Amino acid sequence: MQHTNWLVRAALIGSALVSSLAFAQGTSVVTGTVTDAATGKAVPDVVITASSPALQGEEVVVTDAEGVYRLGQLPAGTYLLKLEKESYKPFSRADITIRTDRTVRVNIQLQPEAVQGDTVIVVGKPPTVDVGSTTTGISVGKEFINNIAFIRPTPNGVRSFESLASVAPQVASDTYGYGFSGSTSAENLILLDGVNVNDAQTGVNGAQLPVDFIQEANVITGGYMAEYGRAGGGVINAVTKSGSNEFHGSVFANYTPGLLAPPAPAISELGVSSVTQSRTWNIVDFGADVGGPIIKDKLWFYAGISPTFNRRMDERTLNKYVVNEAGDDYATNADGSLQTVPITGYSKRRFDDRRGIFYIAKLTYLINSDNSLALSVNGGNASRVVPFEFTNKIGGRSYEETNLSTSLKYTGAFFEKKLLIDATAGWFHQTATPYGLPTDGSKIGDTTGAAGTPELVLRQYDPAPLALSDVENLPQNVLDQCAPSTPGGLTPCPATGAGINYRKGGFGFMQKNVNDRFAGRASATYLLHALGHHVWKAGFDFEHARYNTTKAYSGGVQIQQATDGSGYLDVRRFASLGAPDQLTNIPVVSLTPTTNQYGIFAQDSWSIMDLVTLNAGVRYDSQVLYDATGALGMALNNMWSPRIGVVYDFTQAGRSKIYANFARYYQSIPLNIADRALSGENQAGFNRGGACDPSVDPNLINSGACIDPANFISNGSTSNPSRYARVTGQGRTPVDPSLQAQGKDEIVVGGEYEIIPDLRVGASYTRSWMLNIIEDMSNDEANTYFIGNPGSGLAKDFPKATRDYDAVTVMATKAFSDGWMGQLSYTWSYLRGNWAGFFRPETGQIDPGSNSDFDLKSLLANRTGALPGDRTHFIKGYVSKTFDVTSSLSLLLGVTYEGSSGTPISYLGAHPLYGEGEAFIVPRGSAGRTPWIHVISLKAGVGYKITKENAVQFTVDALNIFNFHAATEVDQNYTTEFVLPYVLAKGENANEAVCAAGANVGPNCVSKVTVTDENGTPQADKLNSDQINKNFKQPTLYQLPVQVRFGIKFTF
Amino acid sequence: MRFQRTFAFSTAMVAGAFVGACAIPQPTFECNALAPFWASYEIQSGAGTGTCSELPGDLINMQRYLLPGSMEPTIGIMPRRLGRLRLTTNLDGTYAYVDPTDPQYAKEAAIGTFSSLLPDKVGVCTMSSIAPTDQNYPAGVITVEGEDGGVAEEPLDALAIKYEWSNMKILSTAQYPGTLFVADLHLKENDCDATFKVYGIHPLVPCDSDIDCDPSPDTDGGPRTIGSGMSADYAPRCKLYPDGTPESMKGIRDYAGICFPTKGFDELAK
Repeated sequence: MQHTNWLVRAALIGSALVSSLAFAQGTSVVTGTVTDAATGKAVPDVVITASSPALQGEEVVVTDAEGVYRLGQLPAGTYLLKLEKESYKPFSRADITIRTDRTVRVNIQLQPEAVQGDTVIVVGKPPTVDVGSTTTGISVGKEFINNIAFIRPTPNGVRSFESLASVAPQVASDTYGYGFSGSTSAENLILLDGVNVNDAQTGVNGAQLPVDFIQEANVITGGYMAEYGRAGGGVINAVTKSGSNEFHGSVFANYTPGLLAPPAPAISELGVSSVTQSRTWNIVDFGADVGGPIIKDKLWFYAGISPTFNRRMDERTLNKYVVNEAGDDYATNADGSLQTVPITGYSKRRFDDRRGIFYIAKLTYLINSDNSLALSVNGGNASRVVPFEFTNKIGGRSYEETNLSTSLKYTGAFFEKKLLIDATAGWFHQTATPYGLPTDGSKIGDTTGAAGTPELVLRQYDPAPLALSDVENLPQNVLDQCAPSTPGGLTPCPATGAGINYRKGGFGFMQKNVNDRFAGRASATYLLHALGHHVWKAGFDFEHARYNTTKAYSGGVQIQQATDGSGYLDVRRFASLGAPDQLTNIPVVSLTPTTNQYGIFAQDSWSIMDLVTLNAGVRYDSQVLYDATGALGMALNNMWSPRIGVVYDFTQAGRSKIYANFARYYQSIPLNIADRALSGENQAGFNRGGACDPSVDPNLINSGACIDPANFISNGSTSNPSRYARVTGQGRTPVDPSLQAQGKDEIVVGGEYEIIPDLRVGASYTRSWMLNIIEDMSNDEANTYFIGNPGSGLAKDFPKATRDYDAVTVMATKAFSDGWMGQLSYTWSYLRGNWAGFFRPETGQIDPGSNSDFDLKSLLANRTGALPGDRTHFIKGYVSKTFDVTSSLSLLLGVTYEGSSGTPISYLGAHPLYGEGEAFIVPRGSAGRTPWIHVISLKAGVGYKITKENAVQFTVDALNIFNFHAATEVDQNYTTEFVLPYVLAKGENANEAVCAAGANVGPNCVSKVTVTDENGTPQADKLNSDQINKNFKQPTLYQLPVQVRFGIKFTF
Repeated sequence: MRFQRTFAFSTAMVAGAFVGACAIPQPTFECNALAPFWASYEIQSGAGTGTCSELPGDLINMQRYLLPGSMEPTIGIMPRRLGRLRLTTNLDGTYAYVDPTDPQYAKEAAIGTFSSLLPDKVGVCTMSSIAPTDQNYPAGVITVEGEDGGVAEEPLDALAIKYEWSNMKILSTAQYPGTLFVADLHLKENDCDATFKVYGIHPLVPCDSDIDCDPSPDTDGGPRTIGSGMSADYAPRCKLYPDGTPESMKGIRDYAGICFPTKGFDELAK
């Protein structure tokens, strides 16, 4: 009988609840109202006990005078609530699924004891609508990860957690990760167990961790409150698994065979007649994780480890050209391409191996009923080895990339759980070698080996190109096929040609980065009862990040041969002048730009009269960047972000919400800008000729004839104080004194409704626009540059930067129950503006705050239009069903469909000052769209329950099962001629103005496009059809091909 | 109750403390010169003493020197009128004008030493000292190609050149990052001896009339497709060469004049 129990509990009510075993360590909330089933009146002083395998101990609260209760700081998991009060029947509700960062409302009616009957256990479906907030986005948990095929391993072979973001509406993959709501991936905030794991240099994701170790990821695309700041994109908040009171774990292995993966398209780059093709050989990962108690209900542990392998095979073959009759040039085909004949009996192969090892260790400790600690250490080491180069260079390349994230989290409750404190301290450490390092053991700064030998770029083709046999050792059968038809004649196998270079000798550019971020955050939550219920929250966070980079050119210099062979130029050398022609070498450059950031916020979540919730908050952020010498580089002040939202649940039972939110977001600027633009880069060198000839041994550049000034070639200047030295480094860029921080505003309006238990439908509308961006610009046609905001301050004559995003999303989500789960979303979006974000999709250049986007006013015409990330339609559908064939055998089938319409294509030409692809001939996006991309993936699995606790599962993930290969990027260079942007007349058709093939133009169409010479002087004739790039609109990149992965997992 | 008030108050205190400490100004830009300059010469004394006193101005190039870790930048100052002497070469390619007392041409460019790494409050950088240009080329011969293809010799007159710079000020701010300078110049070429007030600007934009100096390109479909490259704040106009293109500008482009600001150095420095 329950009698005894509740008497004991009732006695406890009068005193503080401190003595009950309670632990709360998460960020989720269950709240609701308890009413009398007979009278409908609120019932105060009801004792509510929440328990869960995810919770250490139990959490107990009591309803207040209005019958309202709040269980806070809950970790994600499945909960059981038990309610007890004198003169009422005890009540239980089970299977309440709580996701990370969510607030669910569970209202309960208690039956008075006067009614006959036993304990009533209601097996009802608890609601799934998050009634506390206006955020848009979704939570991705274990069921999704296990049942749906959507994760591709990264190049290191790891099925990493950031790919969980791809299932949220308004998220699209871009060159460097996932872009949220029209922004670029470098603008997001990525948290792993509360630690910011963004790359300190570029802002992209810096950590990889297998999804097997992840409990849940909360993917937030907008509408969030003041506690998250300094991110203009969205937030990925991933939480790893924790231990529990029982030992649980798994052992898993996955294998992707190369046979079923088609090769990547061949690349022809290593010398004119050499072709390299790369294919997947296999991808393997395996691992284990285990969690359990060290002391039951007090100290839990969780640990996991997973090695990964990704092997690719590269193969090089050779072609030869056909020398023409006259023997002075190569024969061409009708379309202008060179005729080639494959060379038989030659193939060189190498394996390109990537390995990784990823690990996690966690302890969760309940100090006492009101205080707890959690310590989490996770990270990974990845390496890649390319054993040798196909060209004649010393040794191969070895890459190493590590990341380590450590966090300590404290959670505490005071004053009968009215005041809650959360604090986290974290350290994120990252190392990377972006271009690799030598495999022969030589290190940056060494004077011998591959690191001590200069790289030589051979370019001679005037009067004749170098033969491949001149620059590498080839087998005899190749030499025979490559022999010229007349002795000393034009070689059929050239190594160099117009625009094509052959690299030999030392390693080249070497860079090693060590990044650190030390961060801490603390917040206090206070519950107050006044005209409804208030949840006040205030807090601050602080971050110090360092980007330590060590750079060098092997042998101190990269040497470039003149195209006529007459000289060897120090094309890249870290050096500085102390006086005219007095060069001081800087063999190794080591810089550590740093940044300090902090934010404070205050917010109130006010449940007005318990009908409508008003969320109001404000946040203040500040960021300072310091250059490589530690001097102030840039200061971002006055980042005030107001956030206001309102949520109304018209069912008043946690099954619906209508919401609206306004938010301002400011952006944290990554440290890349402090490395180059704010620090300057000292590069200088000489051009050497005469008796200096390093072509046979590049080491000769630093001795003998090559350092004798008699062999220096004059820089040709009649006014430079130096006669020979050439200074090429970029100086510092000054900062506009009135610089404003980069930020955007956003409005979100939407609604959600749970039509039947576990099935939610919703719709939302998002609109966002930029306030200011930070970019480098020139007011005087590239003579001087400064960093500022387009449209204000020194840049007041520049147009404002715009990136306007409108999106309507409709979504249906079925939570996992009865073996079914699913999610279907459709997003219509409209992205217009003149600025894409932190990197330029047209070229891949990632220099946040100093891209070439706004550099020159003359480059800005026609830049406003549909941005490269604009995908009008985006459909994401995921469904899975588990069939129980027998009590121990089950089958799983998951189907995925992802479809998106194409991105805009522009007509690009060359700009006289800036080069290829920088002039928009007519407004952006006028040339149509890339095709629709469809991906259909399947997951199939067989599960077998060995015992009650142990099971094994075999799975097959087939991604892009029909191997659709639509183009994702096309050649947008309409012409490589220097052209000027053409301003369309009102109503004029852009395609006709450029005489685009396929437009309604006759054969005698004369284009309106002005061609200039390299000085910008207009030529008499407009652009004609001979000057149009024959490759325009041809694909340059395709969607990822089919990939089949077999997996086995044993759980206990 | 009391706790609530304490909580609210302490939050406001913390907020106020942080806010009050903020609004950090942007860093000042280091002293530097963005060359080449067109320097206009305004004669102060020595008119009529020779060709050098009739110069309307010259192209002045500058190169800053600052070794890593050093806080004392120096700057090389080189007029093109002097640098063009490098074009006079013997048949074997060696320079015809060589000062035997200075074979490493250490005194070819004038070397100025900045008073400090950072400019003063209004962005002006001054020099603590400027070592002058001092070259003495003796009379001699230059080898040239003879009429019948052989080697002939031509006489080369002696040439003593001295450029003494003083009171140089360079404007170095985010708006004018080393693009303006003023100085006094005492110039001697053999018997010619003149002093000038010099005002130099970057960039160097040749012109035939004022429209060539317009910072904006033609928007009505006219031939000027790129702006002049002059900052609009200069309010530039075309300053014509009274005696035709100066010798030192020949070989760059022969234009009737050069774009020059109508505002003085002190006016722009404000």
